[in-house]
Amino acid sequence: MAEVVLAAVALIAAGVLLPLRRRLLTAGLALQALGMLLIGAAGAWIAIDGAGVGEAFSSRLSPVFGIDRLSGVMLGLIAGVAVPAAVAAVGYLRHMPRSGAVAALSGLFALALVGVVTARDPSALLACWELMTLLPAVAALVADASPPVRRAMFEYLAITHIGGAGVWVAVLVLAGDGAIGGPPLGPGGATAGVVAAAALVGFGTKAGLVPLHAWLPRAHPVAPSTLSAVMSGAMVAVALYGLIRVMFEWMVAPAWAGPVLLAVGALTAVVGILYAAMQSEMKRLLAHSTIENMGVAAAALGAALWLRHQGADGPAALAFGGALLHLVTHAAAKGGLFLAAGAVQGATGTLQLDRLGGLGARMPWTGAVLGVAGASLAALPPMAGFVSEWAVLQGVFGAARVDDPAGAVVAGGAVLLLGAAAGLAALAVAKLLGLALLGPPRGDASAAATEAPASMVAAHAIVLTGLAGLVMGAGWILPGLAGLAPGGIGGGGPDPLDVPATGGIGTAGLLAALAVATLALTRLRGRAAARAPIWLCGQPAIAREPYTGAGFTKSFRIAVDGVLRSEREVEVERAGGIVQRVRSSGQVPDLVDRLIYRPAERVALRAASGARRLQSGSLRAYLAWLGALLLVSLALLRAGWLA
Amino acid sequence: MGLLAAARFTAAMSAWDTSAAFGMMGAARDMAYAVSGEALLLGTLLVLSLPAGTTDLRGLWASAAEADVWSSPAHWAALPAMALVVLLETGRQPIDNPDTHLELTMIHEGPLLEYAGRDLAMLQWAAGARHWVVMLLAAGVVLPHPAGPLPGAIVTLAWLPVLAVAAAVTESWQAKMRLGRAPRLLASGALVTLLGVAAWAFGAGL
Repeated sequence: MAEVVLAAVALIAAGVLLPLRRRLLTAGLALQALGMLLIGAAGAWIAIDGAGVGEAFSSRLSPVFGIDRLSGVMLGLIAGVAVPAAVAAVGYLRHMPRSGAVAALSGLFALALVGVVTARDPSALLACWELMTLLPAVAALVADASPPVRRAMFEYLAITHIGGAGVWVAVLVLAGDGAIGGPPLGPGGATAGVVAAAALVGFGTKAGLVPLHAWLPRAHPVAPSTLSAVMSGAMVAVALYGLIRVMFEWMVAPAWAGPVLLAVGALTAVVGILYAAMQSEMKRLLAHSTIENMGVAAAALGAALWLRHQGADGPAALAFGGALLHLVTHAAAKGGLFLAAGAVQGATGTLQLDRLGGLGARMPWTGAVLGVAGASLAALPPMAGFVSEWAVLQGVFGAARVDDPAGAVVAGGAVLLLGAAAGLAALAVAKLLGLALLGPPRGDASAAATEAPASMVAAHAIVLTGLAGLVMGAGWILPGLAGLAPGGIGGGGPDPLDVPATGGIGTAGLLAALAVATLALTRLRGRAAARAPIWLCGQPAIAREPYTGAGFTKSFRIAVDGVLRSEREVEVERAGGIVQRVRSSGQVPDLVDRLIYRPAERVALRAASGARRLQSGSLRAYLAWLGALLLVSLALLRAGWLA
Repeated sequence: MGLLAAARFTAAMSAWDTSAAFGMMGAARDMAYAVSGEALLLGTLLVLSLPAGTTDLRGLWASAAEADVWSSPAHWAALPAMALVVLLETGRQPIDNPDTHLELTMIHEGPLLEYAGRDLAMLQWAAGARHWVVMLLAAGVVLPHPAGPLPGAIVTLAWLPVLAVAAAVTESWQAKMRLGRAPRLLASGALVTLLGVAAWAFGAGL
């Protein structure tokens, strides 16, 4: 097995080098896809078979790599996104400037992700982690270095590096304690508290947990779509993988960690999807929805931590398995959606939802991916997204049943928030699908759209196969994933690990029956629906009148405007007392930006200008400062405050 | 019924969500209600599942049997919440008016405007089925009934006409609520379920 993985890595490395010659772009991307496919298959095999390869974890600082079952699951997840992304890139990148460099960097990025989940010591883990952060930024800037992209990437790097310091602190403290690969760090004492807080901040930033999510909706949409797919599907999941390793394996988390993670996760879910529903650009909407799904998974992990702390290993395993399954189903769906967004952009030249419309009939493959993956994202049965969301909810239900009032109230609140998030997800997806796929085209570009190039259609087919496989298999996969929980599944209990009609022959039969029934109904109707003008109380329908995305979410926006504070401007041009033209615009600013980041920015700038005053450039002033510092230190030492 | 029914219940719920994607004004309102509605639904399910220890509908039904559960304040919290679920899911006043013929006030009817003939009949039939499923669910898991399969089933079914009459009475004396206010009503229902959870948790601690 180790040889297979090494061969696959070699294939990807070759796939990274080849595209640098422009003629070999296709060959290189094909090698990348093949290599990722092999790695994913090896990972899935190890996840099922259970026998790991390579080294075990160690706290020594010499780079070693290995794969265990959890890593195997993550490898499968990464491959599930990276393979279709590499296939789609053949057609997507062809007409872009510097496509070779972007393709090479995408391959390196996928390798860095593989590196993070297979690293078995602190040095390899942190090195791959930093590469994983930097490479997508480089690739996005190589592809497009316009000021908005530069700005977005600066914010991405700034926030993830400030927050990412937490990863270094957590991992290095754990390594110093010998907890990586050794006995886990105990829950008592200040060290455990520091490590847990640092890990929450560090990995949470990368996973886009509120309020550290601000970079995500900025950075993900500006990257090329094939790269956004990997960022949004796999990279954030890898961040939560890091959190799982730290919180579940390398330490016994302190009591507060579970409820805090549960609350933060549930809040993230609502905030993420709330702003997703308000977006008018396809990729921004998808990026916000990524935040939501990471929140859902994080909430399940929090519930698992809390249940484990309470000694309820069975329900904890269910929540844990639900979180992993949610990461997998989300990766499959979101990767597909970003690739479909790339296809839409290629066909119409725009991602503004209000300019699309009618694409379902014009781009059947892209439409199918959007529809199926969107339904999974909105957690509609029988999609895999429903199974994972249901498992997560069962896990949080379990946390509410634990005999502890405060925890039960947190879990109950989380259930309500997750419910609202599910309702909002349906709203956001309905908006996305309705505006992009259905109805009349709302612009010339979408009226003239044709199906994407062959390689993207192939990628769509891969995505659809994967999603169908998940629909059939989610019920089977879940117990296996729950078995990966450190405490094991535990002894029975009433908690259902099987979600009915979600796996195996039953589902296949159900789907077949549904398909037959649908076909029979369409045949029985005997005639196509008559084309008739739509009913608008007798008025003719005019092209400028259909609902826009903003209109669709308006009823909801009114209900929560006290919190959202949307902005609206109406300009009226008059000439000679007669209204010539009315222009209206509206936007929903991000509340977290306004309440946290802008004040923080102001404080930081003020502090910086204060510090600048120290830089007088005069040697005497510097010497005076040094002398004062020395005196103060000596005084403190004498007073016994400095040991 | 078993867990399958629990899944189907959510399936019906979500299928209702997707059906809304076709209309526009009605669909938009419907989806806006679904946001607090789903929170309410899950909260109710949570409160009901607390004494039962499971979300299996069989378990819920069994644990709602006899009079014991009525001593628990959590169950009392579930009652108004479930009533709101019934109102929302069946599209009754004061949340929606199923008999309206004015397009501007339609919610669930709005998306059906463009359908005719057999398709419309299908959708109406689905709405009717949802109506009865939700009522049966409410009767089975919230209202008191004796234990044991046969007497329990008989009493549960007997509750249906009572519920129908109660819905009719509510409809007669309630005017339709302003659109913006309904989500708040549903959200307060969700908060009631949170109270139920808290009550149950503190009760269990004593």
